[in-house]
Amino acid sequence: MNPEILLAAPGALDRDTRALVLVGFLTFIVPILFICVLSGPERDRVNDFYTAGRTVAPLRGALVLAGVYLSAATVLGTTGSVAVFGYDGLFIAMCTFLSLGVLLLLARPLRERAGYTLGDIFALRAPGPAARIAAAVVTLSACVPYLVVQLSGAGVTTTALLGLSGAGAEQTAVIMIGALVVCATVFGGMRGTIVIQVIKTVVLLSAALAVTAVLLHQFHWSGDSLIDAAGQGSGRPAGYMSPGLRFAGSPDPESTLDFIGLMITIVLGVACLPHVSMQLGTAPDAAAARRTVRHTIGIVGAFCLTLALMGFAAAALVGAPAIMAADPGGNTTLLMLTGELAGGSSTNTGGAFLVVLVSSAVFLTTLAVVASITLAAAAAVAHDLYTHVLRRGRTTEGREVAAARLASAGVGVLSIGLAVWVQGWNVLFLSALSLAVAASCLLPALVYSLFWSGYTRTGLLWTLYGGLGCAIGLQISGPVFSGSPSALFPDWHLDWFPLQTVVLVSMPAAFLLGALGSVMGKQRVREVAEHARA
Amino acid sequence: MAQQHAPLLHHRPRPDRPGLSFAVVNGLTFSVHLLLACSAADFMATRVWGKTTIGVLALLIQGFLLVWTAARYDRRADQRVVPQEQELDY
Repeated sequence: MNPEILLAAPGALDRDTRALVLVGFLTFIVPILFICVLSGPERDRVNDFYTAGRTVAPLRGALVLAGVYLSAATVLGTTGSVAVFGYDGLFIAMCTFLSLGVLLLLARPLRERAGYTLGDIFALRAPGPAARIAAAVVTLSACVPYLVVQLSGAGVTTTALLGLSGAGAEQTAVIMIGALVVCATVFGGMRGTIVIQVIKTVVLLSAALAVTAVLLHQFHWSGDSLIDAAGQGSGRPAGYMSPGLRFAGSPDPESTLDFIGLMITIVLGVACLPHVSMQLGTAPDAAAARRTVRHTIGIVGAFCLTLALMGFAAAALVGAPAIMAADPGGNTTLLMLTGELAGGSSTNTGGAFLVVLVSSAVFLTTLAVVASITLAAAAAVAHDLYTHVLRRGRTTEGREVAAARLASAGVGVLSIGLAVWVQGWNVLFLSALSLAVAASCLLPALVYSLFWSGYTRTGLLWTLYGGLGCAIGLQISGPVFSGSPSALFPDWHLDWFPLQTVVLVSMPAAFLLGALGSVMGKQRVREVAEHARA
Repeated sequence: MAQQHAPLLHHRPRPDRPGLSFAVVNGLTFSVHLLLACSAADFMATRVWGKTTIGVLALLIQGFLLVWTAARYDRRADQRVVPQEQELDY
């Protein structure tokens, strides 16, 4: 990148400070990427590439799982939500934390049945290619939108960090970051991902603790004055600490249902995202998987507390109107807060160190989460579609690993292309979509196939495809997609569905379809079983 | 050999007790909490001391409940596995 453009652009930091930040940032990131690539599997073993040999001990696994769990959208978006919406943002942070309870319940049965992908778990219940194709379709529909959101968020934050602006700079940043991550995934596999996740969690936690300590020091370690200042800075001091700001724009019954729907989506959706459940497969056994989730609860809980404090401080020091003006999704909140805490435009070494720490943490977060999701999506393509559907299980380990590497590159390039294409759009729609798909297809299918012995192949297919169709169809018919001024297409009018969140309808529909399909498909299964016995 | 495993074969897969109580406790608390946040906004905004409201307190309590029940669930799930393994060894 041309340094003159870099320095001439208007930004929050002045020239010397930005150079200092850039150098610190590069000395931090480059060795980490090298470590990631070098720690890749030595031989082409499928088990090594997908699950790192299943030898990750609980404490290390908890660091990895916390890293997988705290995506860039969670870290940046939740801070922004707390800053702008006050109490509702706190509730979102709490729901993100509570979702680990769902994961704790799923941990033992998931690890007991773990193959490499969700398709393996569903194939135990319904052997044959149909279940695997369905699982791969659903995995990709949950993963690719999530990847696009993370990548375009990375574009916005990186350009904000460098003080650049404009669509071209953001697209360049997305392409460069995406290419880095795809290389790391292709060469490193799960081992590389684990290394990068551990480093990321440690850096992210220390950055969060450092920022929290500085901000609490600024408010003389008094929670009351922090909350008071946050209320003043939010511009809505009367309603800041009471529920209802998140959907304040919608009329009454819809806003309440949207609030409930959003919280249920987060609680049930985050735990069922494919890359989170794939991570449980790296634990050596079921008890270790459960212990991993338990330790993760501790780490994520501490982190959510610091997120809440940072959100309050951002509202108090930066102000909610400035945050909304910089990015309507609130994704730049954390970086703006750090710049403010570091002491404005020209800062001393301590302030620059804080900025370097936080920006490296944000950058690493994006990198690590994109690597994990790419790996999960690539596993679905290579393991389910290529190995088991296309080649009917007749392939060598070397070939499958090669297919997985190719698939990682393919998924990566597809998401980078999409992220460049949607640059400048409001991508909140996509993150809502992928969480809705996870909560309304994967959760019912997992719950039924893990805990209900009467679940059949027909039921599974009905759940997956029905839930997927319902979630995507309703999301497109909702006000987030078209009709309202903040929608993706404000001029179109497809919005016959009044709610912004679809899970309240699509999840019960998927559960119902699964039960109906199982009851109706049972007759056929019995015939087949008798035929096989005869 | 067959006699050894016979009792286990006749066992119905018992519901996972610690898991069930973990799910019920957290799920019930969460749904009550969610309904309160929707219907009783003024109640949630009541100050307890300083600037701390009932809503913030409820969020903290919900979080600590999860941490506590998760630790309890993890411990008790381990205890349930051990006797079964001893049964197998006999």
